[in-house]
Amino acid sequence: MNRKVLFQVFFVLVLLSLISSTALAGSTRQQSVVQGVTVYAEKGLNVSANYFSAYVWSMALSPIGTIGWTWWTVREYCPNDGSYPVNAQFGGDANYNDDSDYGASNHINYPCPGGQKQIQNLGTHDFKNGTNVWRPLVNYVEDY
Amino acid sequence: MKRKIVIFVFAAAVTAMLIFLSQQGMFGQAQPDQVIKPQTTAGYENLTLDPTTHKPVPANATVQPPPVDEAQQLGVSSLLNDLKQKALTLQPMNQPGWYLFESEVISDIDAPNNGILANGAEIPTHYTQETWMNFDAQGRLIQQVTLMKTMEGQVFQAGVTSDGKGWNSTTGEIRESIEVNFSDMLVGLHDQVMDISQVSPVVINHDWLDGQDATLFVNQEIYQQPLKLDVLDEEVTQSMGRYSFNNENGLLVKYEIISTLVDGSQRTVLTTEYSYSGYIPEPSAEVAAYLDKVEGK
Repeated sequence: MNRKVLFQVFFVLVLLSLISSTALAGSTRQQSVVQGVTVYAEKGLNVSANYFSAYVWSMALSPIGTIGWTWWTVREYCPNDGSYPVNAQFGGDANYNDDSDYGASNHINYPCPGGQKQIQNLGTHDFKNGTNVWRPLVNYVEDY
Repeated sequence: MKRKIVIFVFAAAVTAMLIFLSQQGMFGQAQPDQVIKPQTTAGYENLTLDPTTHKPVPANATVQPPPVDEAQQLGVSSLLNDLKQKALTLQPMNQPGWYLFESEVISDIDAPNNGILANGAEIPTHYTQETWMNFDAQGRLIQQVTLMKTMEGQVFQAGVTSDGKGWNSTTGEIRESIEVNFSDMLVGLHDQVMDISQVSPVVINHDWLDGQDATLFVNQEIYQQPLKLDVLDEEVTQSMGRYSFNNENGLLVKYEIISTLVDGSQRTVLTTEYSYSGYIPEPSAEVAAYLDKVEGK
């Protein structure tokens, strides 16, 4: 076996390892500073064959006045036919003088016609400290 | 020779490191400067804490990774390919025009519905779905109307595609439509089972469904800690996905998810039954009305 073949095998192995270990879970995060405190707004998904989980997480490096989200929607979308077989809407949620607010929502994985599917984790986070406010829209969408 | 061994060992080490890092969630996002202990929001007690990142993860992220038997996986792929070929050969798209795909969905859950849509309409626990699709001579989708109906026949959600635009009745959103082919609709779910078999063991059984000779593909997930679904009162410890294909025509006829609850009992939380009507000379008047609605937008 020559060196070229070895490198090709190596490249395929690396690709396979990345695909198999990251395809079914992921998250997105935004960061800001609210009156001197660093804060993070994160949403993520974990998708298995039969169920899927979505989470929303607002966090700060030290307690701030208000931390949470103003709205949160988790839904499954079928791109082939434009339908939503799962649609969960949650109201706002807030913790006060705290450094974290977290929510998780677990659902049955519905089949979409033709198999293509999109899971959407959507909503606006809420951070207030003194007179400073940060309300980012953070959406995480995964196709599979 | 020595050099080849060194290259191989290096490649293996780098691969192992990449697998380890990606499984630890260390790609794709910055970690906070210090570890933050999250608090659980009331009503969401099902989080676990990732031991490496101290980051909360929903419980179903803790699916026990079962070993995938390569020989078994090969058998699954080969059988699915046979069914796929049979489906495409026996149900060819003979002419351009309208084709109808239907399903009936039953959810045995504790929640009164499967969620509230953006316009306030409920997704019922039992409903039917008609997907009318108009394909051109090359099998590419031109128009599409999906009607999700209550068992009393009321449309609670419609999805319409026309002129490259997709519209949903509950959100009013208009999106750019995606490319869909006739074969995607006929055998797309065969590919989904194939994908599942790559990451989770799938076993094959023979089955009889309403007198039809069928092949059953079953995958099982075991959770490291009980999983609290939004729509069930009791927690789930395991779940099983069952896909039944008709051996005569190669089409998927039934899909079920069976959950094992913490008390050991089992519940079929989802049953979807499929039927394919083939070519339909004209779409129904209801479908035509939805198309008119979108074409005016």
